[in-house]
Amino acid sequence: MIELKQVTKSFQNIPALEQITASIQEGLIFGLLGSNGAGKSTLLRLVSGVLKPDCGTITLDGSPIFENPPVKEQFCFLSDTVTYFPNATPASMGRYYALLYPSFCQNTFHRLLKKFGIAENQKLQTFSKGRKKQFSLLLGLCTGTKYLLCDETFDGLDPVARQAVKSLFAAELLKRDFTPIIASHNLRELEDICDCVGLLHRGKLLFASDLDTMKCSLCKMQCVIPDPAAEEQLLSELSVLQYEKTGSLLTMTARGSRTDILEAVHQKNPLFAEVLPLSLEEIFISEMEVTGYDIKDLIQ
Amino acid sequence: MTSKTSFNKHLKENIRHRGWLAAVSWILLFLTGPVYTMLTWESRFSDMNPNSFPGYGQSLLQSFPGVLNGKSALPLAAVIFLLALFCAVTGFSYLDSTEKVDFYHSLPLTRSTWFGISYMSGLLLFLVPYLVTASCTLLLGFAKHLLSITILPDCCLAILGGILGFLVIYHVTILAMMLTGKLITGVLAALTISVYADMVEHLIRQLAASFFDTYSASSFQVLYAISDYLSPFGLFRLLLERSASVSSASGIFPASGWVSTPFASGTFSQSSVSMGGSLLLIFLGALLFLIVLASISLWLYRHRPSEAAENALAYPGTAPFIKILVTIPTALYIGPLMISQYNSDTRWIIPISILSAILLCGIIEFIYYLDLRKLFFGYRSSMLSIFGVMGILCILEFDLFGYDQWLPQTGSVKEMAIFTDNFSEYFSYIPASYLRIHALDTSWNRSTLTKEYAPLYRLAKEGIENAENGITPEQIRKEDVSDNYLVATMQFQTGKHSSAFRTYALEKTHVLEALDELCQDEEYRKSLFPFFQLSSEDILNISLMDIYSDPLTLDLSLEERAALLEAYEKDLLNADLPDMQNTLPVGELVIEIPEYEEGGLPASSHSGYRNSIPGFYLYRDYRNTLSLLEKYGYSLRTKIQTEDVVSMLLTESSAQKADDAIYGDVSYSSVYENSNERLITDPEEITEILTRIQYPSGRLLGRDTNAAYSVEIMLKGIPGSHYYTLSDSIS
Repeated sequence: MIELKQVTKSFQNIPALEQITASIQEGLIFGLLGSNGAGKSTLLRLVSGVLKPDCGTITLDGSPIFENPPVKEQFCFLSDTVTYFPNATPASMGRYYALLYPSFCQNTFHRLLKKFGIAENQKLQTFSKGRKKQFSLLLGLCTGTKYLLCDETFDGLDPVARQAVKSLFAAELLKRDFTPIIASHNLRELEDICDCVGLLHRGKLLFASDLDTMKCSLCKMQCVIPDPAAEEQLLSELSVLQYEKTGSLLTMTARGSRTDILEAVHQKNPLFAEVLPLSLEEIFISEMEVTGYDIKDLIQ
Repeated sequence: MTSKTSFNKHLKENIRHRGWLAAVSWILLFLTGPVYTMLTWESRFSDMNPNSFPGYGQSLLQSFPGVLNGKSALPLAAVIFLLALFCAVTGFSYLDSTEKVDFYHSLPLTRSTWFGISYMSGLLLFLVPYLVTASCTLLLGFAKHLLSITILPDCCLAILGGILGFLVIYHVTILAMMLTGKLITGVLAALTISVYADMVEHLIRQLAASFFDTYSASSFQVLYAISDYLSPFGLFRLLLERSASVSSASGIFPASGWVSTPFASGTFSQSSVSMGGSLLLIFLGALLFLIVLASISLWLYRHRPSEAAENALAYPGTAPFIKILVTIPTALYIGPLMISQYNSDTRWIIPISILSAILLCGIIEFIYYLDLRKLFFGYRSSMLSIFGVMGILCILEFDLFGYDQWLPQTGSVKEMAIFTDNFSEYFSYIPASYLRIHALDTSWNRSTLTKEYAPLYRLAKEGIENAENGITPEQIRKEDVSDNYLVATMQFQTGKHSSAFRTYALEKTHVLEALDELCQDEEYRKSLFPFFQLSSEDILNISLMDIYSDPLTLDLSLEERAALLEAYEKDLLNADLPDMQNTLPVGELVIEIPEYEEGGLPASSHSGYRNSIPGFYLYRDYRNTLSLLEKYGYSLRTKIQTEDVVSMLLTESSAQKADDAIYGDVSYSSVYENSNERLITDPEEITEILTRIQYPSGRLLGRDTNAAYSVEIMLKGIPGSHYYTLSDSIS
């Protein structure tokens, strides 16, 4: 388990991360969300051992990560901007990564290259941006590391490749002890893949929790309650995060289980009541509003 | 911990990624190594016939190590320097890119391992081609039968010197890369660190020369050592020089001087100080320097924040210090430089330097932030820099430490020496190579030091007073104000290893009196005249030169030669010193000694590898020598016969027109209508002029610069023309 305790990092006296405390469980896909400049990349660079925190600690199972190669062998960091050695080819990069990562699987590497139609001996500098990203992901997957840190890695991938990579992640999760940590500002992209999410804003971690739990603890509902007094009472009884009234139709997002909220609504004799599916984006919008952040500034 | 095998694999991969540098390294080293050497040999062999110069082979052998490390092949030295820069920059340039830092530092290797990999691969990229191409050059030498096996140890040392020279620049560049976060600032920092000490040394001299009237170029000798040992570029140069000159110089272990000439143009030779120290000492010093630099670089690398990439400086806290360290010397350097370029008044140094400091602060801030709005961001360090420049200039301008008035108490002075600019004109000094071979003191100033310095001390006092009254050495040199004054450098030996130097403008008559007084002591006289440094066994030939300026080799037996030298020594010891200034010689002896190579090829292919030293003057009262010459059948001609003259070119000196008083009402305007030169072929005119020509040598304290006319005479049977001055006006 990766543990961050009171981690702070500043660049030229400008705080990038402040007092971050969180833990990332093994075997789950962790999504790191946040607007541009929220500190996602910095956090990943800290976790991967590229940066040293100004204060606080980052450990993997109790061992520090920075300047600790045995621990770093369990991490593969795929940066936002893909970088390879000059004149490198997929084959040479594969050879080099095999040197660095003891669990690098050459067979899988060659198989995946073939599957994705990547020529082994073509110079990587001639690849398109998307192709480079594809190759970077394949390389990262083949390292066999426990943690794969992906910084905006899905950007630039075409939908087919994106889906294929997601499938590969799922397959890896089934096969071995694998924990991808994916940083993105695109909530929709992460919604169907992440098990856990953490939300960063202006260098601070607003929360980090399991997505299912989060979804179960929130409920979005549409209903029509003819008695305005009863409607008023319902809103005060429930822990409503957000509500909107269009004519007599009340749409609200409230904290609590679906059963409890449905029961509370039914007690007010509604003409119509139904539970609506809750997207990740809506969860975050609701949570943001609670914490007082302006949604328009946060989510793109 | 990375295993050795794994490290080697990483190293191999790293070298593979820098394949282009390997190719550049091979090509450049091959071109400047074997190819350049071969071309040089070809051109030298085509120019000269080795059979006519028996010492040629030996000379080539001695100079050979120099072609292996660039001492005798400048292009190779430049390539070693450039490759050191390239290898370090390309090895650590990833630190200047955020993306690359993310890539490298996220991989499971420690920073120390990364440092080791980049360091070793850079070194190997140079070392392998260098060793191979140096071996090729050696093989070429053997194939051409120019080398013998005895030269191999010297060659190995030269190669080692080349490698150490490379490492000095390599380590400095690595350090610069650690301190900076941009490629361009890294390269600039490497170059700056390389020459910083040299620049400061030069700056101190430049400023002292600009502001102090009595400054002597021989002062601050410690600066030479600092610029050699603390300046990476100086150390690089020293390593190449010394490692390629083992046989011909002081050897590996002795710590005697390297190259020495007497005060050259009134200054003590720089090289005698700067090139001192044994090779072993230099190698050890270089190793220590390398270890210190490598340790600092590794420490910096391990603590370097990854976010330093793409910032001008890796450690922003160093920014103000670097700014001050760069701005103050550079601004102070620009002032005197501009003044020397435009020959302006030294008072302009102050505003120019201050203006330069302001501009430099702005430029440095711009380099730091690349933002014009932040030009005055670090205003505190900018102010400190500007005030620093102003403060130093104030100290210099008002001579707050009393440099020009400085005169040590007699009690604290142990010995003193004097050297005038005119000595090097009058005396022909014995080559340092000869002195070294004979274990003689190569530094002339030491040998003329005297404990009976009262006359010199008086002169120093007079010099200070003259300076206060505006009679300065600079004025004497530049304006040639009067023939009554000369420029003399005075040495005050205050301790075994501590001495101070000052240059004064002094009256010639006073200097002559002082020298005469000092020369009453035979030891002093012997130290003043170079003749006493020669050993009679080394003298190959003696020639006699009279007013015809055509040396005639004396055909003497060994006994006769010894007797002649003895007679000359006797005459010289008894000679009246004022006569050497007030009268002209009637001839001179030219003594030929063997040439001892410094390790370079002979300067002139016509010298026959012997040193002809003229300037052993004969005066009328040298009766012992003159009578002995007479006895051996050699007489001195004091007049040139008219029939021996082919032609004569009479020149009116520029001073003539401004000095009509000396030459009365004689007007030559009709003669020199459009030119101050006239070709004379009329025998009558020639005869008249010949009665007035003087022996073409200097006087002890300088020749008569007021001579209105000079003449160039072509003599029958003697190649070239000879220059004489006329003693009187012509009608």
